[in-house]
Amino acid sequence: MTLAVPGGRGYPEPVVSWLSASRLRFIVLAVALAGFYSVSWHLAQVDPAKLAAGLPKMASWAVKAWPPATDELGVLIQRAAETVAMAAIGTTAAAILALPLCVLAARNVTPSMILYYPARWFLNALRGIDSFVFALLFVAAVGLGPFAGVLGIALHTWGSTAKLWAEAIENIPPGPIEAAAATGASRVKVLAFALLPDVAPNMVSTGLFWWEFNVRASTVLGVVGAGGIGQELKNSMDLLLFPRLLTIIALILAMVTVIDHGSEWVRRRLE
Amino acid sequence: MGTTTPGVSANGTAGAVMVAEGLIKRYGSDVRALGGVSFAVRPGEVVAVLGPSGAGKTTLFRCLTGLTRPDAGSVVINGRDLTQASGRELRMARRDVALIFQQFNLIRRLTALQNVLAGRLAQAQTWRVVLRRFARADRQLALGCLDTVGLLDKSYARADQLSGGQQQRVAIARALAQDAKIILADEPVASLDPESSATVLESLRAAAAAGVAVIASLHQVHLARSFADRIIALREGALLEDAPNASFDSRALEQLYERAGDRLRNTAATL
Repeated sequence: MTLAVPGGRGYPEPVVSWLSASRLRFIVLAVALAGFYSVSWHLAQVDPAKLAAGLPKMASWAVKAWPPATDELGVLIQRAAETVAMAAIGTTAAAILALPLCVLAARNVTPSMILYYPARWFLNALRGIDSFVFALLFVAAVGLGPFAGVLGIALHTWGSTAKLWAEAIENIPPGPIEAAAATGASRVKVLAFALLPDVAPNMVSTGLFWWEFNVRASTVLGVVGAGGIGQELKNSMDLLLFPRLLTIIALILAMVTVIDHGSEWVRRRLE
Repeated sequence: MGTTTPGVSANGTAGAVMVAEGLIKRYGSDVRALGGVSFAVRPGEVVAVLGPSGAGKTTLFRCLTGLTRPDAGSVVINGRDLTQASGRELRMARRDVALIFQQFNLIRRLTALQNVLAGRLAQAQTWRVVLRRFARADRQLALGCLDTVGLLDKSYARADQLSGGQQQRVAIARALAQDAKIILADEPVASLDPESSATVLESLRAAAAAGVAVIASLHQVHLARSFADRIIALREGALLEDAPNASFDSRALEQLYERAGDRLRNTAATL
């Protein structure tokens, strides 16, 4: 049964021509996207045939890797701990440095727009350079080892964390801050009392996210000589020690899983 | 323009806690938000400011708190002209004026008690504010203020778990804790149901009984008539009427809402 039209008459509807402006826009967009992906495909040198040839090689490595080597487990665990420590120290240093900067870089609480723009540029520069690139530079400056990794992580995370924190600050309602400022309190007191409780859970959550992220990222840092489990990963790969490689990959997976779950548990309890 | 010539001279400034004189504020070249508003308020007095939207109520309140600088005129509180103060001096002057907002503006993640303690921000030492460890004297004062507004039993409830009316009463307690000479309430009951409105206005009266001057802008004429000692009517940025509640001319009200649309006219007509 069809529902009777209330009013009982035919209502006029707009007539859409077969080549409307919106349809034209869609066609142009589709052509542009197709062009973009075909160029990207060539630039990335995607070659499924190579993958087909390479897969059996990887399978043979997997066979050779079993059983995983356990003779050096103690050393490897220590190296994994190094990676976690690198991420923790780097992220914490970044968080401490980000605290003053996120205030400068948040439009609603910055003391002056003269400070706001330079702060934003600085953070964007830090964020734009990956911790891997920073670590590469620091290996040259302070020598091989986890400390170079710590510095690399700290600089990149400083920019990223401060930017996310600044955005969290910009998103909070202005009322409570206005109300606290209206009591005649100084700026520091207002920010500490009215702003911090509102953004703190978000800030801790962001900080934990970056620690988690940095644990994963710092496994790669070993490749440039910045210590940790990544360095062992590269050594084993270079020497084709597949059983040792398997142990290392399993260790990394276990480490990342534990940390992800732990930090997720903490973040859930923040609300 | 008005039926009387309201102004400072008519009411007298002897013993006044706040004297506003000749306030003029224009936006652009031809929008006149305030056209020479003068009045004085005595301690313990409850003043309702009535007027249709666009009458200049919000601009008046912003001038009285130093948030907006008038083009001409002065607002003298405790011998200090707010319109000339800036920086530290303005912060000192603001201590004497407590604000109540339509949207309460409590810090939602803090308890009612902590929100009331926000009224002590200006006086408390910075480290106590940062650590949220207020002195016993301040805590006792804050509990007393919560008792005054009838919310002692909600002292340790989180602000976002209170009803709108309760949140507004916490805001009044915060104003009391500030030990301000004047409470400025901009549309304090505009987002509350009638029952909550009544308790909030009762709490404001309780504050006035403690010697604080209360200036509240209201939309509902019957609330002003049942709550205020004195009614100030604004229209198009000018004082239309400034008289004690008992002798307030109802015809002025009709004039007030004459061009403010059917809804408002009906409200005035039901009186």
